Amino acid sequence: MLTFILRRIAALIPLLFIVSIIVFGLILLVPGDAALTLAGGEDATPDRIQMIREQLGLDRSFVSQYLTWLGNALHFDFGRSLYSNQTVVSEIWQRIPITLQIAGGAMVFGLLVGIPLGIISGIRPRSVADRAVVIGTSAAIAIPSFWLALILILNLAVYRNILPSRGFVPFGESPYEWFRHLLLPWITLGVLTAATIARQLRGALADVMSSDHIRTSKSVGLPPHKVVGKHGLKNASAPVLTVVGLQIAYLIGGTVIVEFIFGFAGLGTYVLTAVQRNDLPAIQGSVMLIAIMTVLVNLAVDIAYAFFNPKVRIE
Amino acid sequence: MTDWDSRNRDVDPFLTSGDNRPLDSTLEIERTTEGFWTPSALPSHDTVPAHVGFWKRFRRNKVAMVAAIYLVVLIVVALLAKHIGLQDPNLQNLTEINHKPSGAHWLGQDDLGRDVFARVIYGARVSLEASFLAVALALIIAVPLGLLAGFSGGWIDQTLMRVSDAFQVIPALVLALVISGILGPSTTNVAIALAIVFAPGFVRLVRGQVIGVREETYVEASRSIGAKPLFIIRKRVLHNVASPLIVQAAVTAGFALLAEASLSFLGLGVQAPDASWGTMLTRAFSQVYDAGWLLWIPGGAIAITVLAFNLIGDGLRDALGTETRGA
Repeated sequence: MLTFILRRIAALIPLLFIVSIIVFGLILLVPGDAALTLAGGEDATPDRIQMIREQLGLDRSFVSQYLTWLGNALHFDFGRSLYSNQTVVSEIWQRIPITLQIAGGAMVFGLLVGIPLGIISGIRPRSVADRAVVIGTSAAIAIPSFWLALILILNLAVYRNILPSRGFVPFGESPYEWFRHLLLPWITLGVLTAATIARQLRGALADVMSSDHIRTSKSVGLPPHKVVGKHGLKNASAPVLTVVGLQIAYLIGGTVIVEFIFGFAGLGTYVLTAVQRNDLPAIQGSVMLIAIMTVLVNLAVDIAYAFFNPKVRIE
Repeated sequence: MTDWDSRNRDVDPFLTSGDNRPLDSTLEIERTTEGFWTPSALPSHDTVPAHVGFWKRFRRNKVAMVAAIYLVVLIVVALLAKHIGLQDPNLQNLTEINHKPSGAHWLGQDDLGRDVFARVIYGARVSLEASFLAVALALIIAVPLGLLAGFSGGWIDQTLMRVSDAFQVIPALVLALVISGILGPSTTNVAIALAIVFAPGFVRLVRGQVIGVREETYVEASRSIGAKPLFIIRKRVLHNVASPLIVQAAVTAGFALLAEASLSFLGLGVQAPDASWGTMLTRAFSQVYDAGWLLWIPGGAIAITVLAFNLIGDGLRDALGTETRGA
């Protein structure tokens, strides 16, 4: 198990290296003279253009710029934002907790809703309950999540004053208000996760339930909840775990739109503002950190997977 | 994500084989027969080219047909938008702000008194153009790279796979947002960004298919009688890669439409005053306390069109029998 974990971690190094090239290479996409464009185009003062040129070392070769950037990045230094005098890392650090609360809550919502639905429909494929789950999850996957957010706001915040439409309240201030303000973002993001988990679990469970050892457990008179819980779910959990891993990248990406709609100052709105202002160091730093976060979560999922499924460890 | 229940479909995937064979006569008999030499292929459906009798099978799937008809109508209407007597989508009428649907304005008027129906149709143009362009560009980038990776193997394959891993580690929406933001807001740039986001998935798919086919007896046979690599790719491999690729392209077009809507909702796609479904939602949201009903139309259009792409993808999958081909 330990060698498995170490091997997985070692495999991350070349991966993150390539990611760093992609992320830094974004500068090649800046149209025209990079310093001029980043300074804000034709209206920029010569001083500001010169400052940006020096700060980013734009008159050096691409490789030399990259190596400097990578050297700093290895010390967790992604430079300073072009708009505030703070370092990119300190700005992101303040914003990560909000994003994690949104994404984490959405994942919990996805599991709490998705697993029961998956079990209900997976136990008896083609039953009425199963059909309902299949149709419901199909619809949930087709509906754009940001539109769902708008419709929820319209119905629960505008037409009826049940939930707040904007803003964030820290847990320490008021747990009740914290929950109320986060509920719509969680639902918005979590619906797709729930639908995906339900579908995956349904497929896996339906396969397992038609297998021989389940038939045997049933025929020896094991009560249904034991057949499903002890034999069915245990064997159906692996594909679900994979989906959970894949969903995490989606949830982190999805926070951009959710934070924008609900007005949260998290990592997503940070990326968005950086993109709107052409704040290149902030863009590169936040994308790199998001990639690292995704990789680490996937590593955790891989390890959990190997823990439940010893076969994986040998490969 | 959607392939899990195709085995329960009413359309029997086994129709791909035997019973359509008499129809084949017009189509490349040589390829139909070569499959019979492969004993392992007998229960699977590699024996008959997937496109044989394809239309007949696709038509039988009523849901997919309805989706396809919807999409064709939408494309035709969007292409002919200038010639079908729509009102000017950017014509403001500040005396009729946020008016509900009426005889003169079928879907009502927005916060600047513009005709919502005309804007939805013109918006369809932008949204469809962006998603088709994105998928086309992604295929142009990905198919050669996938063939290269699958055929050459070794370090070329390893490198290409690690690079596509790296692209997929960055959440799709973040990557698309960042690329299109840096390139500057426009529909073409959104399409370019989405093509970069989708290409790694296509590379992976093509590579997997090539590796699957590469060792098949009939490819080996072609090689052994001295067929040139490009001939083998064109005649033997592409036919096998095409089916799963078409299915994937249809589903990806739906994702692209959704992503384009998200990006223009965030202000990165088409610029005012031109409409896309995403920007219409941004404006409608800014009016949510005065005219919340405006949210329903562009959002519904996005949802229905994405659903149509997915249903067509499912229909294509059944009709082409890609599931049984191990895709």
